[in-house]
Amino acid sequence: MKRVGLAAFDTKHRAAFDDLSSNILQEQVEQLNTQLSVFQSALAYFAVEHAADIRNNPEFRAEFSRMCTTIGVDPLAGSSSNNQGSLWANMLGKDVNDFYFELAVRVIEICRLTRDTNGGLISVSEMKTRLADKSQLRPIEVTEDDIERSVKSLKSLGRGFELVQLGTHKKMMIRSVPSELSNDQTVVLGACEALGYVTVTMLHDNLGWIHVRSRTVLGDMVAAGLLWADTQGVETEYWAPSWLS
Amino acid sequence: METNIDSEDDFKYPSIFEFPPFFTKQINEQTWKSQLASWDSLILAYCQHYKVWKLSVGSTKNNSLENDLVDGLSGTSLNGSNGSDDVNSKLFANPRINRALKQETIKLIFEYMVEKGHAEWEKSSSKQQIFVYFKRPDEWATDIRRWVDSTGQTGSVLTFYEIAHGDLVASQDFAGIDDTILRKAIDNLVSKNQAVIIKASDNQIMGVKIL
Repeated sequence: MKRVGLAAFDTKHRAAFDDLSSNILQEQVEQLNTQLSVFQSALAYFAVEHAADIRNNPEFRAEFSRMCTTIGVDPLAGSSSNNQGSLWANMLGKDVNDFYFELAVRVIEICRLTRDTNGGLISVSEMKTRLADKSQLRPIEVTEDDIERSVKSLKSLGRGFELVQLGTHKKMMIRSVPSELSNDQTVVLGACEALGYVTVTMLHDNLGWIHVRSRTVLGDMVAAGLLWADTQGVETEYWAPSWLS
Repeated sequence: METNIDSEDDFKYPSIFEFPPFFTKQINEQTWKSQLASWDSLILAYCQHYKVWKLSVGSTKNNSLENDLVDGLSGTSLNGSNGSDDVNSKLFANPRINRALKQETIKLIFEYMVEKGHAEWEKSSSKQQIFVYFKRPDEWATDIRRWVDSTGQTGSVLTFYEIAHGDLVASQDFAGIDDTILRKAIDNLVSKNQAVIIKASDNQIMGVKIL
């Protein structure tokens, strides 16, 4: 049966259109591939060229990782998942990756050294100060962003190391003990951000907590090493060791 | 309060010295352990800085700040006896935050230091006083030996006073060293056959010959 009207073109031209579209598509893919490989090699070249800067200059490194985030590349992605390392690691000659893993090792060391003092909770800003401390064997200058990145890279080790945010200022902390903070504990630490300490009365007046609740929470936190008690004030003051930084 | 010249030489307290609970013994074992270690290193650093050789559990005098301002800036207790209250009020108390260690806590800290070899009980004090070893007697012995060698006094007789307070030692770390600690250091040299104690006929010690 003979078709009339626009439908008549259908069979005749569909094949041609299909051909054309697939040609165009392929061309685009090829172009994109070329662009991507050009971009990759440019980026790789850039990274290799500036490896030393990326390693040693915290501002430069921050800019570089910001750039990576913008274009949707995670410098650490897949780095521990298989033996050949991430695409990224291969491209960058492992320098950037190694940097974060080495940093992570230092972060773990400091967490371990300060655990008796702070119960395993240390602020990222204090970590930064301690890493740069000149009396250390190998002081390094890093940004807080670097530290957070390196802590995240430890995720594959399980729940031992985690970033926690505290208080109204969303202060970033590193938790290096496996036990999680309860809601009440998080609230107490957040409240400590204001004056450095809390008392049973303060918790009652500001949060409406009954005394027995406050005493339980504070007692637990002292037992966990998260708070230091000062009994020389009018009322026992519970101080967060993060005040020390 | 302080002149520029003095602040150069003033001891720089660690930030934990401003932390009120630092002056209360922590009940958590782990926290107390870290508190002890912080006090230990603070005491050693302070004593090294001001050349304090001896500390006592003593009484931390209240309201002694005015006195401190007068005779405290020279920052020494070289003449020992009545200096300990002065030192205690600066080392074991922080008037800025109105906090002070209890004597029983000071004693525990001393015990810890003795255990670590960073101090030794003064024998006659029945655990009320310690000699602070920011350097141990054997390390002082090495220092003294080196100084004797480098000043060409090997083999000549020196009095204890010369070693501790002589003009030649003014720049040395051991200038002003406590008599008892000095004696321990010399005994250490004697035991290694590196020194001989010279006595007068009435058995009075005249001095020491370092070989």
